[in-house]
Amino acid sequence: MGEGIMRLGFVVVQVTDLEAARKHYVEVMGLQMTDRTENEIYLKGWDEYDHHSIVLRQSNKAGLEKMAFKVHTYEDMEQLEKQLQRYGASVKRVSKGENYKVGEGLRFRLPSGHTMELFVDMEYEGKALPQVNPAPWPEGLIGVGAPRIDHLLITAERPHETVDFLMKALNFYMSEKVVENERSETPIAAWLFRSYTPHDIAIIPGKDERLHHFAFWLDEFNELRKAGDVFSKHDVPIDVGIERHGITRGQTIYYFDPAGNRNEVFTGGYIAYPDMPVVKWTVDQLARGIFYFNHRQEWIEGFTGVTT
Amino acid sequence: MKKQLVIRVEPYGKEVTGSKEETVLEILRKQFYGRDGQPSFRGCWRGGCAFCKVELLEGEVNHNEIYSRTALADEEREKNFILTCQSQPLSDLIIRFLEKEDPISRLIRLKSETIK
Repeated sequence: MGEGIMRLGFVVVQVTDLEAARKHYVEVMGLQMTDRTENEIYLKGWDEYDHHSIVLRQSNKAGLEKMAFKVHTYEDMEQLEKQLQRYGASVKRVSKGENYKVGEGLRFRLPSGHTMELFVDMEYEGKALPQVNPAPWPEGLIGVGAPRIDHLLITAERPHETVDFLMKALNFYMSEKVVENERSETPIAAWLFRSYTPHDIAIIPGKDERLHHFAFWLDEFNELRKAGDVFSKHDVPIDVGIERHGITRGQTIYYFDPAGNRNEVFTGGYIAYPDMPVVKWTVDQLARGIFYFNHRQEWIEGFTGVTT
Repeated sequence: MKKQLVIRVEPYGKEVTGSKEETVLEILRKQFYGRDGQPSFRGCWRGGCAFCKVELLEGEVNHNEIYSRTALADEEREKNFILTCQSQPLSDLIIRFLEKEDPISRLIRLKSETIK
């Protein structure tokens, strides 16, 4: 097997008011709109090369339509197709162009019912910076000015099944998991990675097929302060933050987009290598794992119970 | 002065007052959430997450049509469930809060009860 999955490539997010969503993602989050059709808007952060990392699609529902992970090579994708089939997944081939600006891929469902795709090629758009002698950041960023997408968190009725699928069929590594007690191994929730961050995808217990949030990366802690300023100025409903996660050690603000999808701006956390031993959180300390500063019952209830 | 409408919140028996110009959620956030032992409001305010979904037992509301059908299915709307963030009261109301089911907070609660 080559190098397999590289990172989260793009998410397709359903929004109930496309124009309100455009205003939010472009004028508040500062993403670049690389294309739009009557029912879709394509977005990328200033530090991303590919044509898009977010697709907003007009719908009468909020939530996640699908997520797509980028794979290093077609050879790797063939190997992953075999692994998926061996695992018992029903895999469909996606033809070139079926996803706008995206090459051939694979589509399947996780045990949690979420639709996942793999792809290798997406049309190159380029960063907002040159490849030769670039400045550290581009001029003219709007609002939060998020550089890139980072990860997503989904809910599942039986999280351990989806975790097992992602690890065995798709070679995800586990950084951290929630367990009943120190001696137990079965994950109640888990944080998985293919890149060098502590999570590209995480799974917590909840309803199947639901999105808890997807997150944008910010380069440093002070950027969270600026994001909070921007959110408040634009009346973006802030869910929680600024906070610190015990799990991943990241720092965060959670907020909602105009359709009610939860988003996160995230920074920090450690570099994760595939050889790291899994960090465990026991249920009695889980509140601290989620919000290290304000580990209040009340905060956790609104946080983990609200999904789209 | 704007006419004050009365909203009774069940199963708590608490009464709050507001006007037709506000959403039911705005009224509840001023007088209900975060008071008398009630947690603060933690939903999306945008008709997406269903945190504010209640059953409308009596009265009429003006319900916005742009909201997520995952949060409030058409069949639920027909049975008089509403999203308070998308509803303005047209009369006095009686609403009933729904039980919330969240596996993670249940786990944490169970654990802290065993430790005590």
